[in-house]
Amino acid sequence: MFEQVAIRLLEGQFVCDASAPALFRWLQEEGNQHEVDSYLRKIGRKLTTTPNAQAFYATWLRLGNDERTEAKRVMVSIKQTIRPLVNFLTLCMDAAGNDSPPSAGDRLDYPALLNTVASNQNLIERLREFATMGKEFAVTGDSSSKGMLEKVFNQMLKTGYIAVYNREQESYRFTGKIDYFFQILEFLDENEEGVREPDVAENDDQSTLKFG
Amino acid sequence: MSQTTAVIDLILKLSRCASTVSQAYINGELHRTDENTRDIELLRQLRMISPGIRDSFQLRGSFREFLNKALNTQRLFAIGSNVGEYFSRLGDLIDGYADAFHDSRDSDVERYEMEIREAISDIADAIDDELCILRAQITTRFGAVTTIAEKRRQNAHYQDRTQKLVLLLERFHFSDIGEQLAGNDDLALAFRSLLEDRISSFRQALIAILKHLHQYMFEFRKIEARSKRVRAFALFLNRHQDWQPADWDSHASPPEWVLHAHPLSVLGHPDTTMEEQELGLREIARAIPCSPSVRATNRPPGTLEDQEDDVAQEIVIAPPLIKLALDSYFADADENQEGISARHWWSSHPSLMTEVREDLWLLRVLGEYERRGKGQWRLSMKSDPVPGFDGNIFIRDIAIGRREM
Repeated sequence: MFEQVAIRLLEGQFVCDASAPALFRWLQEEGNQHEVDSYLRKIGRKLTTTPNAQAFYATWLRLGNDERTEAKRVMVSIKQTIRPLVNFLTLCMDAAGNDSPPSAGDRLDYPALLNTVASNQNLIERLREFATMGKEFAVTGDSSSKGMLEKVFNQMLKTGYIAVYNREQESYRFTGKIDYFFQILEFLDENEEGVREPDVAENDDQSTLKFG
Repeated sequence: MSQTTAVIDLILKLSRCASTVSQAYINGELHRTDENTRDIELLRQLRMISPGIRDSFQLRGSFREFLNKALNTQRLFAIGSNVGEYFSRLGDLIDGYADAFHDSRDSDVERYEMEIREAISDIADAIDDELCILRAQITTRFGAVTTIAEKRRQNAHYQDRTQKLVLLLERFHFSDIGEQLAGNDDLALAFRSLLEDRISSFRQALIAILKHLHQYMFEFRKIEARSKRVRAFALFLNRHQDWQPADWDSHASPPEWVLHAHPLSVLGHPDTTMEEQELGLREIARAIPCSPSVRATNRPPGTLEDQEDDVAQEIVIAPPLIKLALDSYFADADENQEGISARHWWSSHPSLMTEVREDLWLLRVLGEYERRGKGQWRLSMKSDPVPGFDGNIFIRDIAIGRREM
């Protein structure tokens, strides 16, 4: 177990219940966490958990020039991820009629989502918006809802925010990395100027127009 | 007709009305149509439906509750278990049993015994059902409802219900029902094995569920905050299409999430010197598919193909004009022993000398004279020495003629 966990962490992966249930359970043991952390510290890294303990990942122990360069790379990746991922989360919420965002372990059925999106013009438009969010979302061949959603799912799989749950049923699960993303959103919400705006309902109420 | 036959008969009759029952269960009511008239009459005879308002019918409460339990739907939330009433009934039955026993009413005693056994079984089943429902709700996190507000409401409801059940089991644990049934071995055994021995495990399971429900209450608050944040972010990003977060990696103490260590490509190599690995390596080697054999392909010898037009193509290479001019000049010189002035020849043959300057012509004639051999040709030169005595001369003209043999 130690070997598999250490290698996954060194490869930059998030160890969570959805992607590697046995490894995650093993790593939840305090003694095992200590063992892995001690090992990582010898090579300039440390074991870190997401705020709700949904996933484990490795972070730098010290911040030198080399690590700064890597941190910049992570920041660039996050900048590219924020917009499509927020769009994906709200798309899933609206398609399911759910007012809570998906959390680690939540199931995501591709056929059901596709069915709902394809029958709702507003959701189709939201799906189209992905193409403006980076070339990796741009659909070259099949520009149907299926083609577009497939592209989005592939990208989410690639970035590790979802994992395959049942290949035959085309069913997926949100991974613990989503907890990491919520941590980023919370940080930006608290520290970026202008992000925290007045209440959505107050600001977005277009039904109350004032005349005169 | 035996009891078993009556059950089979009832189920068969119900199965004939399956579609109508399903419709009534899903819609909550049933309206008479040409197709379902017979089913409705049959179900009324079986006391499975009762008339509602405006010529409608609905499933009777007991039948609906049975379907709810069997299908384990979220409607159970509204019903709840009635364990308290079962306990109360058990108490009444035990009292009746004691009275009948004292009055030596044997037939009543027998009836009470049967009903007490059923009541004990009902209580155990009810608690089991309750645990099953609660576990399902916890596993799905109240998945039957989608809004956080409803999830919180259900959570509060189940917390209250579980708390009451835990208290009820605690009170039951200290009751003297066991002692009251001690006189009857069968009832005492049924009470002990079906209920009393399981009470502590029921209680522990319920307390664990209660803990989960308390935890969910806290989590729902967090989820609600997260939900607002995601919505607010989506709105913010829509309004600010060019927005980018600041470079938090350049901050003096950057947040932890930006310090995600970069991936290493981990690759191992087998130690071929270790004897114990030899077997495994041999297996791997055997499993590697053979590479396709390399075959040298030699080009077959070429063959001459018959050409339709056998006439060789002639390529005419025109000699340069200067060459023609030199040949012509030397041909003229060959017929003249006196010698022909090169400059005169140059001026008298302008068609051949269009691209050759006069001074260059003199040099080329000299060069050609050297090349053709001095033995056959005679050269006379008009020249002046260069001032300064450096050995160079100014050539004014040259004349080449055939040497006399």
